[in-house]
Amino acid sequence: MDLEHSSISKPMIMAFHFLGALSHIQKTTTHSTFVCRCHRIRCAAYTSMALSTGGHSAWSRALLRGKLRRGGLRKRAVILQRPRKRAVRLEEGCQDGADVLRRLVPGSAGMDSAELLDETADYIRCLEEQVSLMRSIVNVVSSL
Amino acid sequence: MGKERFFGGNGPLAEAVLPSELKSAAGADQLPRSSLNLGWDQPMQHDAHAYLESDISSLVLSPSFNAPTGNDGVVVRELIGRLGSICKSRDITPTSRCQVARTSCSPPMLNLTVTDDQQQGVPGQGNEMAASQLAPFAGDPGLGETAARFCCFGLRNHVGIGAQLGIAEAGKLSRVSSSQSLMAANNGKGVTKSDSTMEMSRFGGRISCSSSPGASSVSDSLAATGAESNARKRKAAPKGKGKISPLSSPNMNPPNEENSGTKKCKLREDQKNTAKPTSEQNSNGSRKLGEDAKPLEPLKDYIHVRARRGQATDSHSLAERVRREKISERMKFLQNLVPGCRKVTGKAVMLDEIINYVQSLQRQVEFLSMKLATLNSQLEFDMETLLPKDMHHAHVPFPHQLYELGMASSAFFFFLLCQQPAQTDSNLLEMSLRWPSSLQVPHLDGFTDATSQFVNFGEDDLRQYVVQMGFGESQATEPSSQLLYAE
Repeated sequence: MDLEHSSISKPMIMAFHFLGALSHIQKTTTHSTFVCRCHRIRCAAYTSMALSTGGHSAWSRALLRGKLRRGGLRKRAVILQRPRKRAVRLEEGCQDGADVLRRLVPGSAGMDSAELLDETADYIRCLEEQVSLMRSIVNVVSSL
Repeated sequence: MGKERFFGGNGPLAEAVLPSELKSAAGADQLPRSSLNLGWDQPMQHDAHAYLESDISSLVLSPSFNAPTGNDGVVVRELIGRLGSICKSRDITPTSRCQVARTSCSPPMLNLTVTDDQQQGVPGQGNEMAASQLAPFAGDPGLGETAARFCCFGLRNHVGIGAQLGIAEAGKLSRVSSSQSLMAANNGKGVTKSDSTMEMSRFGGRISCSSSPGASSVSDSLAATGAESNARKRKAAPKGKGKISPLSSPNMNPPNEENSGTKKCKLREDQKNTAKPTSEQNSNGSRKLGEDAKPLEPLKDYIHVRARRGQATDSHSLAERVRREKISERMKFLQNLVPGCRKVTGKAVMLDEIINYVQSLQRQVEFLSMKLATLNSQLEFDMETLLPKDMHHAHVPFPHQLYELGMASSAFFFFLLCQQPAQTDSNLLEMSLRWPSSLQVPHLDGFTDATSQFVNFGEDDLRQYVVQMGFGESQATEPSSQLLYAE
């Protein structure tokens, strides 16, 4: 039971998903437009980002929830809606002028400022990892 | 209820200050309301004051505003409602809100006449039309102003005329404003909350400044009641505090001399217990503190809080302080995360920097995805071959295990996601497991049994579990990735 060797880091999961998605997109979109493919790759990036966090943060859950709805499971989507009792907390902690940030970070609409900053930190970290992953992929592929 | 959901989501209220007469007048309420809802998305893009201008311009110029019914009453109602919702949804102080509303009220009024013209197709009658429409409602063109000012106050809670308005404290205010006939009844009711009384007095003051006669009569009576109740509330609050402070002040003075820098005061218990009540008393060991306890027996719901020197010990400000500290510590953490922000001081500037950084990261993701799209199209190249020899990452596990983990993790995290909103529906399990469609049904039981353990799974635990469950057919990645990445 050597857990250290067998532990797979978060970037690996992200890389796996993202590369799988890229290959899938590559196979299936030979006929679609550039814009469409761009969009799909972007979605794949965000999805792999969200998956790599393991659902700990609200933004990843919100992202995945959005993807779920897109994936044709519309009738189940209603189950996954955020419980509405959180909306009550909007009043107290949200008068902070951080509504731009709330718009940027997905799934952070019903949070007060402290949680929002936590989510932002997590989101920034994951975004940085995703950007570095994509950059390295681009470098590797374009140098071939 | 649908309305509650709507309120909780964005905050704008379509029927913020609708006079009850108007409501009863028109039967087609749903349609204008829905048009208001739809038009709401655009104002969210703008910033501070630009909000109001854009909202009002959208209010006036939006075709959906005029289209649904030909009734000018509906138009006016929507206008008022929109003004109310504009005032509500922005975080501006009441005074500035009202000032802006006052200045911005006149253009909508003017534009309203213009749109009436367009709607009716009769030029030159616009003003009379508007005036005649407004006359039955309030008898003066200042209703829009007053209504807008009503909305400005205390628009946080959701109480309303006949449970349809969205203003708690100002609910009774708006009832007063709606018609002069209702005035007497509502004056009798009075206002119970101190916030609303203060705002009422402010409102009364504003109204008396307006030139319209009808409104001024309303305002005078309003101001009278408002001032009275306001004065009553103001006296009551300091009286309560005054009562306590003489009790404590003779007792507190000696301890203050002893314990310099500490202050003791009684607070209401409804806030969080940051207090160290009796232990502090005992540790001081002063007789006076013991005497404090006795006269405080009847005031049992007060707790003692040791406050820092020079800081208020009001329960509200304590909670505020705790909250501020939390936020500042997180801001410090974010400062480390965002490059180049060490020297930045101040929350606002820091927030701007964070926003810029997040936006730039998102833009980079877009740009890189475009680059990858071009590369994808150009190369006949399977990206998956990159996996074992990806130079970005240090250690490379077996691809086989990685497949297992990845596939299981995707199903897994979706399952976790389903768990998070606390909906343990068996359908959810099926749904989450449908994607890796090659998984067999017996695994479903495993998920149901071990759901509670899954919440804090780390990757290594996950991998162990995966190996145990015997997942890991690599072709399972196909359907899962299809579902994940399909558009």
